[in-house]
Formats: sequence, structure tokens, C-alpha cells
Amino acid sequence: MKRPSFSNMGTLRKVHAALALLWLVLVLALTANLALRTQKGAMFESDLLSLLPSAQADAGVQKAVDAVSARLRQQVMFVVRTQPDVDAVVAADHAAQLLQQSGLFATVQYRISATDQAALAGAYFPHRFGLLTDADRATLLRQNAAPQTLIEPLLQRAFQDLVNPLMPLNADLLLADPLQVFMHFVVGLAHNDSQLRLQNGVLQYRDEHQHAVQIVATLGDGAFDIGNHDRYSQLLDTTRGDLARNFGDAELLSSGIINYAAQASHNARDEVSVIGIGSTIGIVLLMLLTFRSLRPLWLSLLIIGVGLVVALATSLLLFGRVHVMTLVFGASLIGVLDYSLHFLVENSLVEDNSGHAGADGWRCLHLTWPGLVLSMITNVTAYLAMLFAPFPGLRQIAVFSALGLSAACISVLLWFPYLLPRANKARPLKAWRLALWWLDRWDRAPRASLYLLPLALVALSVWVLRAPTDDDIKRLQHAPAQLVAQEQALQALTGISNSSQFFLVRGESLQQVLEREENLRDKLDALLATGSDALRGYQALSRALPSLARQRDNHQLLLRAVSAGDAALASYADQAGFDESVLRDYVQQLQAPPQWLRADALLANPAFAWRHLLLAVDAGAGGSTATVMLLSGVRDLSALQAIAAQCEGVTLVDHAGRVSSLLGQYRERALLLAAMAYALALLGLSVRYGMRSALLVLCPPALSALLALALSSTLALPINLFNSLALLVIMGVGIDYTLFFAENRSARGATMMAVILACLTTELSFGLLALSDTPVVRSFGLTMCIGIGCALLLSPMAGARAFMQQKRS
Amino acid sequence: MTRHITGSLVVALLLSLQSVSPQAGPVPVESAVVDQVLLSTLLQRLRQHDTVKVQFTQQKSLRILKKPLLSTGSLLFRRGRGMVWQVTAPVAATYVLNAQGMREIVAGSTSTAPGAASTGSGTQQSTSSAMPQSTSSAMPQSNSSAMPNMLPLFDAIFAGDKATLQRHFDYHVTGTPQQWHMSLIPRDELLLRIFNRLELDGRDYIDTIVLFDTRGDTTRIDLRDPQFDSSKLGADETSLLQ
Repeated sequence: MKRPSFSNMGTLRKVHAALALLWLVLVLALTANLALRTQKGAMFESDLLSLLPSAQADAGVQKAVDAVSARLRQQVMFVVRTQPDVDAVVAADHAAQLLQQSGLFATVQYRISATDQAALAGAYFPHRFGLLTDADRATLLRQNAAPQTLIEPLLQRAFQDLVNPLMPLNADLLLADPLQVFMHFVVGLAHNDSQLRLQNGVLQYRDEHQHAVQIVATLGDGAFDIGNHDRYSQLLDTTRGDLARNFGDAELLSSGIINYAAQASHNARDEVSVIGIGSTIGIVLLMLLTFRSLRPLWLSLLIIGVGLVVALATSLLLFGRVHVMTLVFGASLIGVLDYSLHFLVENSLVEDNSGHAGADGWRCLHLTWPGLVLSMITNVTAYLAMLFAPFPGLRQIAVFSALGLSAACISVLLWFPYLLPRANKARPLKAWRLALWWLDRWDRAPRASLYLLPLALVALSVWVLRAPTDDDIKRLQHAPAQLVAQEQALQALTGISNSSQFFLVRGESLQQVLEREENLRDKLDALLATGSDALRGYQALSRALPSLARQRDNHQLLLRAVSAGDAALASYADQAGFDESVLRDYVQQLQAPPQWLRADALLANPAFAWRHLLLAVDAGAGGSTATVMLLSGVRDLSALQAIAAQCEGVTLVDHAGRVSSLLGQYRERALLLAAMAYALALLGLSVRYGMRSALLVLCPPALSALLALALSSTLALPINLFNSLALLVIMGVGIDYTLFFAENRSARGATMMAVILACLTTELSFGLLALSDTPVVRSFGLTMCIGIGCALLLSPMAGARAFMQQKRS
Repeated sequence: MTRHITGSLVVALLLSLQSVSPQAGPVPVESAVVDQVLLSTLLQRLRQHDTVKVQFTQQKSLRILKKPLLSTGSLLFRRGRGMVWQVTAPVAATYVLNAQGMREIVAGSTSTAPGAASTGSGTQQSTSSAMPQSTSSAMPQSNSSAMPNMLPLFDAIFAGDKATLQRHFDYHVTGTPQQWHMSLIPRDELLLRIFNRLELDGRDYIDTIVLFDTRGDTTRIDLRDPQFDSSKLGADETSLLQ
């Protein structure tokens, strides 16, 4: 095949010069753009949730998931905990002031307005004749009881409460609610798992070991910007320090998604700098030792710089913000110097058998450009194949990496001829001998070893297919033990768990949604009454705001039981010693047409604590209103699923579960995609090289990828989407290595050296990824590390004399 | 507002109802100098005992009742642990009060539903048939967060700890160690809304506690026959406070 020559001045040179200039202008423009963008800030985000896909097939469900997670994101809960002899309220005063002053929070709240609360209770009070707890309803609905005895259990309870020395019932309360049915409704509204109670307008908890006060805060806008993460972490640190100093070792516990995000961005930055600094130092040493000249070093750094700047600037233009995880992966681009290395090796090293002593820039370009372009295409294709998975995080990483690689390759092709006008005459390293020795091993390999290849491929494929898999998103994320411990301590105090599992209830109107919720709750309560531990509890709007239909029904039930049970009522009045008027007045009020509790009045009250369950979203086809019923302590999802299936307008949403199953699906698809990619590459390469050589080009990356996945799934995380994707990247990088051997059979020594250098630089960066705190990144890094190492060792297989002889003879 | 604060609703209910009627504000303690010597003597006396069991008679006098409602039983106080109230008449019931709130003990098992069913416990004296089991298990769980906890109030009285007393009350002591009177006004806004004054009378031990609610109605608790020897107490009684 005749290659167009750049060696003499001509049209091609002019076009090349124009392109080089154009590329320079473009790179400078992107650099300027990036510099401007840096001024504006808010370039990075670190919220792990934003990496996850919109996992729900139903748009309405996805909106609900988004609304619920948006609310959870903004919320931070703190508990100030002191020794029992120190007043935690004073400490909380101090802490709340520091939090408020930081400006990071939209609201910081721990004192509760008695006025608002009284207004809320006041809002319920006039409507008490239609309000019953589920349990009292069940009592009044008993099938097997005679009508006149229906009311008796309630009277019995009322009397017991009356004589209970610990029940602060007063005359006003009894006069308004002599059966205490309404009081029990109000009691039933409260969150039952909480240990905290209101004292002096503050929610607190006290026992012999501690005094604790709760502070609830919502984050202001921009809290999830990286810059604010630092401020948030510092704020927590200073507040903790202050509390510990001034209030006898007082602690500040906190729980919220922001904690994980701040931690993640902190880790990511540490990792970016470890990877960045580590691999830069490694590369500097490697370049100096190999080329013994400064020029190759600064050229390499230039290429890295251009790659990063172009990738970052373009990603920011495309996505608005770049996730820190992208940077972690992106930092590994530093190592992807393969393009410049091939060029530099040609430029400087003496090929021992042909005797030519390096080449000038234009000759290097002539020698290397087909390999460079081919390998860029395979690499970029491998990364872009990641786009198929609907994971925003993954897409960003793929685009970022593909951009960086292309920019590096283009810069080498367009600029290096001008930057390397002369051949580098430095003498090669001793290590050079080792490369030649390894080449020699392959060239002398027994031909029979060829037959081992299919065997190895099959064996490794079987190993990979039988290896354990794990797609649970919770295990793939990094949850620092100390944050989890705080979360658990807070959960024990408040009884609130941030679960991503809930029922979504949809309907055409609020009333219809409330009725549907009530229908669902009846079924759930029936399940719980059988002693099932499928679920510990739930929060439902309809418990605090019964539908009009339910209120009417409650009123009818109460009226029926009271009217039929007048004898029992008289006996209760007698036992308690009530004035005759007390029950007579009550029954009269009960018989009058009641006023029903209206949603708008309640929803407008600032103390109404269930508004977050009502979603202000368009719930999609067939419904304009939606509520969520948040679940806690879910043990048996399928039982809940079965109930949801029986209820109209109800969907059980298990977001984490759905994301995990999606990860599983895409893991399978990633493996399939990798297999297809190899098959396609084989087809394409066999056109150029013939089947045997094409197989020899592909075998090293395929074997390396399989071995890497098999080993890393045994050593680190079970097979998941992320280490499966490493297969694609290994293919890209591995084919890089073998392609040059296949393309350039005359200068195998130089190719070996370039490949060794490329591998070492890549290992420096991906190897450092294996040190990451995030399990996903770690398993990806480890897989890459093993895979690329193997690919290097196996790469001389392509074009090895031992395997080529037959063709020639 | 968030869902975390629903616990205060019952209190709010009480507040809202009380604001309906003219409120008898808290009675200020005359800014008399507290007799520190007498106070120390009394507190010292209470502090001697980590455990006390005493028989009580409670008289609830509400304006809507024709005659005061009587109940009797015993109460057991253990320092730092809480108390057990055993009501024997007119209905038998056992309540445990500790930092976590109040819970009713039903027939050996614990239920955190104070106002809930009296099913299964000694309900012979009550008027009607037992409730179906399924209903009682689904009864509202009114525990600590929903109800104001009265432990601080009793803790301050029985423990004899000056710091606790000062944290929860403004107080005023008169009389002699043999015949004394103490007047307490809750500092806790919440307790204050329920009881705006407590009056204690005693000789060797506390004889009477009278709680005045905001409408002037009273709950009078007479105590007699205090036992300080914990070895004489039943094992199951003390085990409730472990």
C-alpha cells in the first residue's frame, strides 16, 4: 500500500499546515473558554445520584422519583448530643447559629412555634366527628359484634385513660371529646418511632447517657457545588470543634445526602491529585530516562495538557457541569500518551538491525500516521460504545475520554512534525535489551502454542460467564463507615429512614387519590394485623387528611355505634361520674350535620407536616394529582407488590432496586456488546491483514480482557457493569498495541519500546485508579491494570515471526 | 416544616383547646427567699433512697364530674430508671414511665399503647367484653413523642436532686422539716400548659401532691406507707425498670 508522503513540500504539506494552524486556534479558543468558565465557578458536581439513570419506564413514576429525591437532597438533619449533665439546648442554640450564619442553608430550624402547632390542632378540632384512627374504625366495623356493643371497647379505653394518673386529661378536653376518640386520632398522627419529644419548644431526648436536641435544615441553592462542599465540610468541622470545646465533648451528628456528596467530592479530589501527581511524576521520570532529552518530556506534557483542556472545555460546553467521577477517570487520560510515544520512539531510538538512527518529524509522521489513526478510531469507538448505557455518569466519562484521546492524537499528527524537526540522537537505555529479549521469545515460540489460544479463550470465557455477579447499587457506592454510623444513630433517635421505596398513588383529583390511599391502607393494615413483618410502617397523607368519603363513613360509624350503644354510654357516664349534660351534649353535636375537614385549609397551615407527601407534579396520563406513601422497614417487597397490583392507581416504586436491576441488564448487554465489538473488529481487520493475522491482532486484547475480568471479579468486586465496561477499553488499548506490531513489521524493536512505554504510562494512571475509595472505580482500575499488563505481554504475538512463517512459505 | 415534629401535636391540641376558654395564667411564686436550709434537709431526706414504693390514692376533681374520680394503687420509683404505676381500682392497669415515655404493661407483655386496650390485663372490673385481638394489636401507638412525658415532673419530686428540681421548677418552701409545704411552678412550657402549679405537703416523707391544671381543676395524689427497702419488692415489678 502506498502512503501519501509528507517528506517533500507540496499541496499535502500546505493542507497539513493549514490544519495545524486551525487546530491551534481551536485549542486556544477552548483554553480561553475554559479560563472564562473557571471564573464563573460551579463547574463540578459530586452528587452520586446524578450519575444514575432515569430508571423508571413510566414518565409519571420518574417524575415522582425525581421530586422525592430532590426533596431528600435538600434536607439535612442534625442532632446535637451532650453528656447528660450539659444542656444540649444551649449547645444547639450555638450550633444552629453557626449553621445559620454560614449562608449555606435556606432554613435552620429547631425551635417549634407553639402558635403554628396550636393553629394546626385548632384546624382539626371543628371536624372531629369525622376523624377516627384506623384502629378505632376497625373496632366500629367489627362484624361479629352486636350493634349495642360496638362502642364498648372505646368506652372501656376512655375510662381507663380517665383514671390513668399519667394521662393529663383536663375538663376542656373531656367536654369536647368525652370518648377521647379525637384525642387518639391526634395521638395517632404523631410519628411513632421517634424517641424525641417536645420540651420547651424543642424536640429533644434525654436519658442517663445523653441529652440530644434535633435541628432540621434545608440547604440553599448551589449547596451541591463543589466549592460549597468544602465550605459545608469546614462548617461542620468548626461547629464540631466549637461544641466539643465549649460544651463538654458535645457531638454533632448529621444525616443527609449532602454528607455523602461532600465526602465523595473530597475523595475524588484527593484521588484526582494522587492520580494526577503520581502519574505525572512517573511519566516525567520515564520520559527522561528513556529519551534522555527534555524535548520529548515537554512535548508529552503538552499533549496531556491539550487532551485535558479540550476534554474539559468541551464537556463543560456539552453538559454544563462535569461530575467529579468523570475527572477521576479523566485524570487517567494523562497516561494515554500512546500516540506521542510512537512518534517519539520513531524520532529518537536507534533500530538495531536496520541501523537507521531516528527520523525527523516528517518521516515519523509518514511512518506512524496509519497506526495512529487506526488506533484512535478503535479507542474512541471503544469509549463511545459506553454511550449505549443510559447512565449519565458513564456517558460523560465516555465523551470526556473520547474527546481527550482524539485531541491528543490530532495534536500529535498536526503539531509534532513542526516540533520535532530533527532526529533525537540519544543513546537507548539498557532496558531496551529486555524488550528485544521478550520479542525474541515470541519470535521463537513453538508453533503448537497457537493451538493453545482458542483453548485459553474458551476457558477464560467460561470462567467469566460463571463468575459471581453483583449489581446492587448500594454496594457499588462508597459509604464511609463513619457517615453510616451517624445515619444509624439518628435513625434510632428519630425513627426516620431515608428509604427510596414508596407507593405512588395517582388519580384525577386529590379526593380520588386520598380514597385510593385509604383503600391501599386498609389492605396494608389488614396484612400487618396478621402479624406480617413485610413492612414496619408508612407515612400517608390520607392519615392526616382523610378523604371526604372516609370522613362521612367515619361519622356514620360513630353515630351508629353511639346511638345503638346508649346503655353502654350511660353506664360509662355513671362510672366516670360525668354531669348528665356531658354525654348528652356530645351526642347532640354528633347528630348535627358535621363540617368536613377540607384539604386547602390544612395544606395552607405551616405546621402541617405531611405536605411533602403530596407531589406537585403532573403525574402523567390519566392522573393530575399524585401522592407518595413513604415506607420504612420493608422486608417483603413482593407482598407489597401484590397489594399494589390490587389497588387502582397505585404503583410500588423501588428506585434503588430498579437501578440495580438496570445495572444488571446493562452488565449483560455490555458483555454482549464487547463480544460483538470483537467480532466486528475481527471482520474489519481480516479484510486488511487476512484471517490469521487478524486473529493474532485480536487475541492478545481478548485474552487480556477476559483474564482481567476473571481475576478482578475474584480478587475485588464481583462482575458488574463497570468492570464489564473495562473490557471495551482494554480492547481499545490492547488493539493499539497489536496494531503497531501488525502495521510495522520491519521495526518491531521500536514498536516494542513504544508499546512498553505506552503501557507503563497507562498503568501509572489506571493502576492508581485501583487505589480509589469508591468500589466501582477501584474494580474498574484493577481490571484495567491487569488487562493492560497482559495486553502488553501478549502483544508481540501479532506479526510474530514464529506464527507468520507458514504464510510466507 | 418537616415531618419530624409531629410529636408535639397532642400538646398543641391541649394548647388549642385551652385557648378557647379564658386561661388562668400561672400563679407566680411570691419572690420569697427560699428557705435553703429547709430545702436541703428535705432534699437530703429524699436523696437517701434510690428506690421507694408507696401506696397512692388519686382524686381527680374536674368541674364536669359530679364527684371526684378515685383511683388507687401503688407506685414504684427508682432513681435514674423511672417509675411503675400500678393501678388496682377502679380498673387494673400497669404503666411504666421512663425517659422513653409511658407504656402500658399488658398481661406480662409490653405494649407501648397507654390509652389503648385494656384487653388481656386484669379487666374483671371493667364493664364490657374483651376486644377482639386483631383490633387491639392495631391500636394507636401513643408513645413518648405523641404525649408529653411527665417523668421530669416526678423525677424532680422523688429524686431529691436540687439540679433537677431547679431545671424543671421555680419553687418555694415553707414550714419545718416535720411539717413542710412546697410550691412548684413548671419551667417547662409544655408542662406548664397542663399543670400550672404543684403543691406538696409532707412530714417524714411526701404525704400529698396536688396538681392544679390551667382551669383550676385539681388532681390530688395522697401517698402513704412508703417502703425504702428494695429487697422487699417483687422481682417482676423491679424488672419492669431494667
